[in-house]
Amino acid sequence: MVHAGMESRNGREGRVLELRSGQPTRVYECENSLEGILSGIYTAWDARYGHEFIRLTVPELSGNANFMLFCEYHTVRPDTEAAQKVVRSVRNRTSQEVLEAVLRALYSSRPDKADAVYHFLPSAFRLGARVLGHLTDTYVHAVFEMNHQVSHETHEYEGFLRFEETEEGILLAKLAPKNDILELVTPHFEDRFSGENFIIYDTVRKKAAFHRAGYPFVLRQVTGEEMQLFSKRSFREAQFQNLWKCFFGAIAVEERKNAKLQRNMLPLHYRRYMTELQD
Amino acid sequence: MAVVYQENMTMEEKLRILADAAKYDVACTSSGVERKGTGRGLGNSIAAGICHSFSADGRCISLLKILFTNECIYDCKYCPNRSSNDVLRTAFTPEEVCTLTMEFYRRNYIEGLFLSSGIRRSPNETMEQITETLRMLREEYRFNGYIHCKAIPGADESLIDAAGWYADRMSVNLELPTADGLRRLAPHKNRKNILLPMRRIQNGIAKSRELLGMNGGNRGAYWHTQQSLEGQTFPKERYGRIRMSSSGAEKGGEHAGGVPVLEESAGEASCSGTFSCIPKRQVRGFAPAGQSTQMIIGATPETDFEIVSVAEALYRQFDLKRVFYSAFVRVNDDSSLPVLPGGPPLLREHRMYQADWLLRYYGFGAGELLTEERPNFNVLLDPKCNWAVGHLECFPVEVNRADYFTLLRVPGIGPKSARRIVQARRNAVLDFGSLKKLGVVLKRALYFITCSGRMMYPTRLDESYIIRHLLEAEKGLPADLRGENITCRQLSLFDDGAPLSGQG
Repeated sequence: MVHAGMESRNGREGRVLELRSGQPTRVYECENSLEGILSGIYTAWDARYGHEFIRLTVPELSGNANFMLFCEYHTVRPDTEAAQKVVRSVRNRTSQEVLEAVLRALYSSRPDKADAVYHFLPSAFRLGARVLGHLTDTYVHAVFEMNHQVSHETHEYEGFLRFEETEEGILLAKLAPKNDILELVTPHFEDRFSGENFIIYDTVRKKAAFHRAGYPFVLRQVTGEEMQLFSKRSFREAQFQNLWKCFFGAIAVEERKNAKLQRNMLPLHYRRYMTELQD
Repeated sequence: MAVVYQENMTMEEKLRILADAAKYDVACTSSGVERKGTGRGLGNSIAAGICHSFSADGRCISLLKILFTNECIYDCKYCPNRSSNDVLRTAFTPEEVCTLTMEFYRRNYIEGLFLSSGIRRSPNETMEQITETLRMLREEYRFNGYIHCKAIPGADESLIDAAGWYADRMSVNLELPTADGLRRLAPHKNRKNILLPMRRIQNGIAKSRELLGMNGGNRGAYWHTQQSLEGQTFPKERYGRIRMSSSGAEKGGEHAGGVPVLEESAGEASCSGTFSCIPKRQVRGFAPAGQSTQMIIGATPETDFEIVSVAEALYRQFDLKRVFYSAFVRVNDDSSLPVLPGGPPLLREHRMYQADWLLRYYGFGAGELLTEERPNFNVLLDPKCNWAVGHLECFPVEVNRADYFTLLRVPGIGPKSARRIVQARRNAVLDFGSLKKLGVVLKRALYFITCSGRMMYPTRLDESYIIRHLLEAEKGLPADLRGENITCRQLSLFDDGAPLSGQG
């Protein structure tokens, strides 16, 4: 493969192409995964077609609803090597912090995430580590916002996730997040519950993180039937759930009752699997 | 004195009683200390703190907040557990507290334990029980999560020292803003006994910082803000008052602007020499998440100015992480307690928290926000808007040039958006559209700022004009306030900070 990647073009990518007005927009369709989108970015960049004529989409998120006329469509297959090249150049030419913001943004459920990250990169390469402060730029702002939303949801789930003890003594938690945060939330519990066997199950995306005591966690797709294996609870489980509900009720001050404030702080969509807020 | 004490209670009954008895304690923060898991025990701690749930009153639940016992030899007028009340009394055993904490923690219900207690027989005996529970939880159950515990006023210093090495945060309740209020409503307590353990904890934290560096505990936001203010070159005539206003408080015994701050001088509360019982191979600091306190608002006739001055003095002299304010709830029918027909003074409490934020993060001094002539906050305006409309000579502020602390004083601009402004204008000239992107609340800021010399709309820099428009912008508020009683529902209309979420 010709080494024409972004690494070799230090700082010149904005000027590589002279404007060719009237040429059709190219749309690169990416798979909805880190690797898929990063590969899309690599391929689109490598085409040297002119940034303003390039769009990236994630069909899984945007659906087929907004096909545009007079566009060339390209489907990009995930390629680990290409994805790693993008990661490397972002890290080398900006900072670890910017890289992490970009990667977190890609866990977002926004359909324009791939496009935003692609068009964020020219500014990132120009401004380096300072790029995240350049919020007046539309794409920088989009990446900033997605990073913020994903981090926020991850943080919320660190608190709102509820584990139940199964018959086998495994801790099982379910979640239905807006963004694909399973992989981001699990390290927190890996550190906190390093001595526990636990499973965190994303019921929307049908995948789960499995953690065996003392080992790093593993992510994989699961089926509903597989998860049925863990449907029995330990005999103490109901007892502690009751104690928790009892505490939850007792700790509220009647004279300060404020359902609206409660809903602001703990929106309904988080409550789906929360022990104290069932029935 | 009727003490109904029951030995054979189920765990659920005990928990209901001892959580119910602890619910008026405000602090539920789990912030201030970052600690990785050990790989052996259970748990870690996250500096930002984590909220695990929100109860029906909208307050954050982050810790298992319980009393060790609701027995109490004291008879504080405002307290549901006072000795003269005829309520069911019970107590946990240390094992029960440990089991509850561990099992709740494993299920991710909580971030840790908040252990307080009524005074059973003597302050020493109570403090011993608390310390023993903490020791057991850390050493036998190997709990590595967050622990907040109360220091019991009047207990031996050695007991407080011992608890501090197990706890992440300690607190001593100030109970009421002034010593006078304390005498009236809590006749068995005195101010000196409260300030002594507070000083002791402060010294412990300082010691642990000396031994362990940053792992020994970080300073409070107030201190950090003051430090960066020192490093700034400010136009003295505008901001000179910051330090002047509270210089009286510095000396402890003296009055800041005529307000009795911490009158029973904290200076007396010096601690005896060496620190006892520093555990061997200590890796966890002494209360590394710092110290907090709380006081009841509205049970005694102090003005807002007095309360804010007390808070400022606490931050300044005791390096507290947080001061919490608790709107008075009339749980006991006692002639010495005020009757508040509108319910707990929640809006006033909210204003206190807003002012508290201004002290800790914005570099405001108590004497700037209020004065003796105007000792109470405006119900209609938040303290910052209130300050701004009274100091129009400082405005308008040019966002493309003003320094960080000047930006911070603009209503609608907070620490986050001020920082973003300073960063973003390095690469671009800011206009009103971009300010919105940066998180500036324009409906409040627009009267006080210019972008490249222009105001957003042709507005007048006139006090009553701005007040009228600010109130209109807070949709629905004036209409609601026209009614007699200010209900708690209105709390959520104010979006400055999140005072009830308890995140420090």
